[in-house]
Amino acid sequence: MRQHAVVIGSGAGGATAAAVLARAGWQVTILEKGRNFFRGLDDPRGLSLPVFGGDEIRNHRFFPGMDTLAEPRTRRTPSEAEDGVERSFTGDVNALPATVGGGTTHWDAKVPRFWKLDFELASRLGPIEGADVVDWPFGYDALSPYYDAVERLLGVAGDLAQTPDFVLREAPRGAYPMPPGPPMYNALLFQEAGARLGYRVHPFPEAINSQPWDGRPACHNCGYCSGYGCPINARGGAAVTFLRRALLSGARLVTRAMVTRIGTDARGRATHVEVLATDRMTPTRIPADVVVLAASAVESARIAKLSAGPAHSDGLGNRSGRLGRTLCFHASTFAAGVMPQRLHAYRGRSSCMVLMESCQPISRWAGLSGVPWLRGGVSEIGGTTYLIDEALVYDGLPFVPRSQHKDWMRSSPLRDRMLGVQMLGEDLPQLANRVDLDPSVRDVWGVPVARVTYGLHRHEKLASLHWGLKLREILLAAGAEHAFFYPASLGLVENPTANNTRHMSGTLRMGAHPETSVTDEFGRIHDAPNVVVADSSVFPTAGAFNPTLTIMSVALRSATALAHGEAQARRGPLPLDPSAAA
Amino acid sequence: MDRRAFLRLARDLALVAWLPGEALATAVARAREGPGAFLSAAQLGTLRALCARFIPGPPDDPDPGALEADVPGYIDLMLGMFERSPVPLFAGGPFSFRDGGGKNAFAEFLELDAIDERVWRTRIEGSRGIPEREWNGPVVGLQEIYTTGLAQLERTSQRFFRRDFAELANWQAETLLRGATGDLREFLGVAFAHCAEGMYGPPEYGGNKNEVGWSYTHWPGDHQPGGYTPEQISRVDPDQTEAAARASATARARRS
Repeated sequence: MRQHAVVIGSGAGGATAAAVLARAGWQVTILEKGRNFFRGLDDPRGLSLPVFGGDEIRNHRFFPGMDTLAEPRTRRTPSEAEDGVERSFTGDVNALPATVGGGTTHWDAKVPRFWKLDFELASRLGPIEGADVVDWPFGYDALSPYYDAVERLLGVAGDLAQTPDFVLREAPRGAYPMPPGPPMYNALLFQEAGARLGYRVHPFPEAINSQPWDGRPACHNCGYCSGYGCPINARGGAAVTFLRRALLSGARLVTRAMVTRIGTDARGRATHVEVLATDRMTPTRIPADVVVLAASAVESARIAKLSAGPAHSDGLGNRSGRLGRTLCFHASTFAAGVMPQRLHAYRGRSSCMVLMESCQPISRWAGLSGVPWLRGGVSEIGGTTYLIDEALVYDGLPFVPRSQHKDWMRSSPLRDRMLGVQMLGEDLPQLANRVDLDPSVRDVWGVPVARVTYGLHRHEKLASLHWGLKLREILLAAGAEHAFFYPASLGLVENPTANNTRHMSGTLRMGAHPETSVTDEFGRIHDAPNVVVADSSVFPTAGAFNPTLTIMSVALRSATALAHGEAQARRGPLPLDPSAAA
Repeated sequence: MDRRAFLRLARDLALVAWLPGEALATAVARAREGPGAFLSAAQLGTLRALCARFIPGPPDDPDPGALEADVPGYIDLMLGMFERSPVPLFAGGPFSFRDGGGKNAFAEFLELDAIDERVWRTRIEGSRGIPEREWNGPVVGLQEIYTTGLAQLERTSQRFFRRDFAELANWQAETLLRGATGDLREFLGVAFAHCAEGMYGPPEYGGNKNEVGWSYTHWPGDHQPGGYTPEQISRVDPDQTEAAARASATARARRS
């Protein structure tokens, strides 16, 4: 009889794993708690246009999820936790879209590779007090063929010739599948100013078609990119790239299926998944030979915690006590310059260039701070504020009275004249940063919600200050009348969404030892090996780059091991497309 | 001196408080009377006056404001969305074809499923003691937040100035709105956020009439499926060239 895999989550990791398993002839059921706003994902004749579009009100109404009333999360800091505070905030805590396609319905599809350094942080840079810095169980070379395969499937635009040598030394690669799209005016200004100061600002690798690819059209640069689903399917992603392949290979997608538990037998192996169908209050059981857990680093940890049972008394696979711990978000540093001229950053792909010098480790603060090395992260150039958001930004500034609202909207210093950069910094794993179940807050299905306990390490605060000042210098060199930056530590005070980013990782980390990790190098839970974790939960460290390409590549590797064995997985992926296989 | 320049000067000199308030009262009174989808005629009158204070239009400001955009209509329709079918919660997509072309998909609102409806009825109508709406205990709905907030605004106006909120002079309204504390202050925050949605969001939701919120802000709105040409993306717009030259000069000056 065919093996039956139940895949929890239809985002970057789940869709990728589902495509591999369905292609290998498995029976695959994909469970997604949200709705489906794509059209024709399973139509062999081709995709239809989706429901996504340039509608800012819909975004403010939590389309396509998570709705903070329906699915809140709670948050507190580690010191509040020590004082016995149950939660200090309820609402949007780093929420990701809860919908078919997951986070790739809101991404602007920036897909840099991790560096060799990201896999070898402990051995190359050494430990930092108060953080649990480790190496990954495999290195860049093991993942490289998977990066190649995922980039080809997604259709990645980039420019090898403009990529600096220091990047290629850390992430060696061949040519990109396609050239970059047209550069945005604001990014060109930053690139030119950066060059004068010695920075190699270059085209950001992105899964956005600059030419037709995989049956999808070239991007028309409409500007509703970051935060919005692509209205023409020009952006690759979990749904249009991987879920579509899974469905065409016979996988079944069930939407509005809220997983409440993974059931296990006396030996600890998974036997079934318990699911609440649309608005029904009694769960149904779906038997499974294998469960692929890919609901995001916060939600996967929540499901594992909900799955405590006789063989897993403290949550699924929690022998180490590490389940839900070492939660990382990227530490956001936002820098902005106000230019005299309008930059029309609303045209284009939200961000199209990147500064990667900020991903290199530095040691200059070592003596002063007691932190032996610092590392920022990828600095995304560009981005725009949308119009309703702009109005709310000014309303939140204490020095802008509401009576001056229209003057600010007219002169638009923080939208049309804003040259913005966001650095997404390495966030060191700390044991006290964790996900557990909130003792009393529930979601609309009546299930305990995830509680995030999170604080920044001194490393992130210092790295943010260091690079915030540098980024500000570049903005001034570009001609900004005013320039400022908003460090990670301030972001955390002001915004309960920890760190102002939606990147998350590390709650079911991979590792060789069951005493200090939850999953092995192929994502299998040490004590429940027929549960494969296929999202960024397994990342041992957060990396200094946008995570999704790596989520997909690691999921592809883990699913290859599951379907074709470890020996094949060590060689590389098998083709996903019938034509490529033939 | 043109009017806009005068307004700026007046604001900078903090003179704006002394401008007469009759213009606004007249504008509010001119707007249509009668109940809305949810709010009564009187509540709608107060809401109009509030929106006009948040985002004023002519003659207090040279560009159209919240009344011209029918922001009160947007907020009223949001509060009364469940009186309509299909429920105007999520506009359809992907294109409105505002830049020319085919059928406007934004105008066809998406069907809600059982969970959407339960969550949004709870948010709009409140939990009203219905067990399925109290997964985290009782919820005060937006309808109650608005009726209570508007009533409090009128009470406060009467107490301090013995006049309806719509009839306050500019300095009186400014004093009241800036000085608000507690629940009233919180309500004003909620109302401002909705006011921004109605002013600057897609017109299919009932606000931003004639796209007045997009014209004075130089915002193109949903520019699809046309998108932009490489030239429009990579180059400064012709009317901005002078400002761009100033930027390079600033940068050069900083370098030297």
